[in-house]
Amino acid sequence: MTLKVSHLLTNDMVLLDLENDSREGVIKEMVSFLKQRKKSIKEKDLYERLIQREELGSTAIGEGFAIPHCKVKSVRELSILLGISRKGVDFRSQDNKRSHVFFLVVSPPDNPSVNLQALAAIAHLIRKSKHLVKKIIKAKNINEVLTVIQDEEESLNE
Amino acid sequence: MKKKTVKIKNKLGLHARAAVKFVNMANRFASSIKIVKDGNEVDGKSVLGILTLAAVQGSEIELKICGRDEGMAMQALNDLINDKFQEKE
Repeated sequence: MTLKVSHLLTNDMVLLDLENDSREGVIKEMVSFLKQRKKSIKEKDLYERLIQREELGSTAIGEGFAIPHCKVKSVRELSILLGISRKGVDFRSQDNKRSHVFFLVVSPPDNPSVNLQALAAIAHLIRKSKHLVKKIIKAKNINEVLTVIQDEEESLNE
Repeated sequence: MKKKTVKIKNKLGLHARAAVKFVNMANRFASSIKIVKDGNEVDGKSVLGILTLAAVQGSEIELKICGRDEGMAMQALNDLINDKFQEKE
């Protein structure tokens, strides 16, 4: 596995304390945060596509994680935003658990393989990490969050 | 044990929704279902496991199915992949 979440995620792309506690609210909050960093994004279009994608089947993968994602023409490169909700959000997860850690993945439509590689990196990180959600929620600042993720990925390679 | 190498045909590859469809189909069977790609073996009943493969269009995966309904499972999963997970392209 070449691509890692810690390579894709920068410290200006972490939303430490999501305020909303509804599915729609959390998506809206992350989209407007992303818009501040990626000016080319069409906010309403991105929001609607993400909701449409959730309607096709929840991206809440279980164990407190969700990976809302879609493709939009208004981004030139893959963008990953990490949103954290301490109280948790009902994201209609199959295991009925609230989602606390959201990896928002937005990619340009012309390169499906980049999107798959990003999803693969996230899947790698979370699939064997039983306490990762707890560790991420406990982190006091953005650098701690990034360190938790980096440490987790390094331990997977051992 | 049944083994078969299958090519991913849909444009988006084994993306999240396709992986969910695969898992939902796999869960209809009692057999153990493994997918191997580039030497990595994952559980065919785990969405996250499948996503780690990053199987793009044109890539080949090997299905390894073992159990009392392995023949039916192989047929159903092979059809699902060849049917492009009911996607248009």
